[in-house]
Amino acid sequence: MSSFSAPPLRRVLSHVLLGLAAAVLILPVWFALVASTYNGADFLAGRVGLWFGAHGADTYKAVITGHGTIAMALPNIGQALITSTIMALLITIGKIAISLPSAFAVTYFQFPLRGFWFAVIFVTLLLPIEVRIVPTFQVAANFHLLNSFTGLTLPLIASATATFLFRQTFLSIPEELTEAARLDGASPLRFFIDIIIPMSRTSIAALTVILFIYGWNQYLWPLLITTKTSWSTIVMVIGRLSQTAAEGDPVWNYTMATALLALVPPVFVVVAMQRLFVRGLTEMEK
Amino acid sequence: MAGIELGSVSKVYQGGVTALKPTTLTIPEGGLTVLVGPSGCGKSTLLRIIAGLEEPTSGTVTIAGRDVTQIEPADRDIAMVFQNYALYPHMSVYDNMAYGLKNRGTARSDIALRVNEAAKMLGIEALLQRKPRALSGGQRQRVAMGRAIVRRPKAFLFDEPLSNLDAKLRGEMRVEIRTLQQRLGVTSVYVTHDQLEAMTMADHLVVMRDGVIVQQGPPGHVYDEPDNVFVAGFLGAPPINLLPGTLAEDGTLHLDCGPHVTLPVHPPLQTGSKVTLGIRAEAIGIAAPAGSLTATVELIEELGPSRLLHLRFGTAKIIAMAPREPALRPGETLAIQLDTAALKLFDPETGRACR
Ligand SMILES: Nc1ncnc2c1ncn2[C@@H]1O[C@H](COP(=O)(O)OP(=O)(O)O)[C@@H](O)[C@H]1O
Ligand SMILES: [Mg+2]
Repeated sequence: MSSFSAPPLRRVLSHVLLGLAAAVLILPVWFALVASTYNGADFLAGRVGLWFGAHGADTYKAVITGHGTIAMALPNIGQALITSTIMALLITIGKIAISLPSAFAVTYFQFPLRGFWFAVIFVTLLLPIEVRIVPTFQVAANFHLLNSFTGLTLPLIASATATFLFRQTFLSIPEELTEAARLDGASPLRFFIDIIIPMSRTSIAALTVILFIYGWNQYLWPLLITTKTSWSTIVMVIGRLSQTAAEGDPVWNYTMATALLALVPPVFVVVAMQRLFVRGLTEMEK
Repeated sequence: MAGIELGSVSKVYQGGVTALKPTTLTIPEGGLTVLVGPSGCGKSTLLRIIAGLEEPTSGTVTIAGRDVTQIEPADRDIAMVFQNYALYPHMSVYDNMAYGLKNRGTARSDIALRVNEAAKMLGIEALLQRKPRALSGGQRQRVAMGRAIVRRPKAFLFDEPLSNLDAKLRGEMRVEIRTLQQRLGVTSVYVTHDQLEAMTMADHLVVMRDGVIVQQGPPGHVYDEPDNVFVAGFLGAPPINLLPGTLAEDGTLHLDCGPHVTLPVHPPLQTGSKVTLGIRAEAIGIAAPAGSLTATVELIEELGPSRLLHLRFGTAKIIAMAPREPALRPGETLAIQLDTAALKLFDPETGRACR
């Protein structure tokens, strides 16, 4: 609101600053977009500039259909996008589904060794997948989880990050409300479903964004746990393409086009959640 | 005997704070009992023990003849109105009021009936579909009361429900709560630190201090006959004038600030005892024929129908409530007279009233 009443000079200045910041953020995306409109020969001849080339349609057709103009066999991008989406969704839903009740338990219930269990949950923060990758892989392999969504997601779901965020959210819910619900005869489960979850919508939306992107960006673990290219995630595909490019085959156009396509689902999630997020913010009192 | 009975209830919080010393209290049925006292005196603790939100360290709670000490808050048949209203922000006004009934398995049609009836009573029918954030403070207050009313409980508990409203609205809501309570005739306990609210609303006034009930009774009686200096000073605005002095041989009181005051009867005290004289502002009159006592006007506060005179009385300052006539000016010296029937004597050591 205040920007409307700000003096003109300040308004202009702040818009210039915002524009600059937006430009800085958009620049890499711009480069990727431009690069995806050239072909291999252009890259070899050094003809790539700051403006679009002539082969954009070819590139996207090739990437989507899987038939490239050069010798390499392009991976199936559609399948990789689907795999990535399912993986990221499972990780997001799984983490939230586990964190909400566990945060509820450590915030609202007195049980023996509560501090200890809280610490145990806390310790998982110190053990991201990269730290425990070898034993985790062994366990996953023993359970025959290679090339499966269970194998892709389960080891990533098992961590406590979201528990802490939800605990913080729950602690910010006024105690009077908890007491009012007690007087209203709400059982703990009813209280959780009717009051806690709706009041945590904003946090859930924010976490959905964070966790979806976390899941989407996973690279090391999917690389280990999948052995067939049909199980490749989109990030693995980008990795393979850029490796090919680094080895001398100038597939930068395909790499960039794939990277851009890989942006679509996360952006969709961000936009969808942003609405919920804003609604949640305006619904809170004060 | 169907009100609320507290049998030597006490509360020591974790960490060792004694919020409530063993307290026995009978809250009369159907009336509005106000617990009043300075902040931190244990009023909320007492109320929350009645509600079952706090477990007493010792003692028993009986509501309408039933011992509820071990019973869950939801099953005590009480409803509570909180200081910050405690409305569920994501639910409509209707759902806020209906939630407790839903949880109890009341039939839908019955819920609608009760909610609409309560809404009509409170004049919030037009707001039923709104969310709490779209309501003013006074409207939220009404919804909070509606939520209590639909339950048709044995008792209403209020914890400083008006402290978030502005002065004008507070005055209105005070009357509204009082009217509603009288109409419904439900036993009510009302906690406040505001002595005006307490005096104006109470059928039965309970004054607390440091976890102890210091006096209780009808508000007028407690005001007129305070048992001790604390109660005398806590009730009434402007506060009672307190003047230390010594009892002389002839039965007059020699005030430390200079003047000598003639007492109507000889108090049951030895000559030479130290006492504190308490005299309320409205018991100090401007004497038409020059009396033996004089005071100098320092400041005049106009109240409209009357005015407050800040007087220098000997070396002490006192406040008198006087009619608007005659015209007075700061610096003027006038004769005053004390309403001898309204003089209170207190033991300066124990604070107890000397009767
Ligand atoms: N949950 C609690 N834990 C520890 N001490 C508390 C708690 N609640 C209240 N107290 C203390 O108990 C005393 C009485 O509190 P309270 O009943 O809320 O007073 P009032 O409502 O009269 O202001 C205060 O000293 C307060 O600090
Ligand atoms: Mg209180």
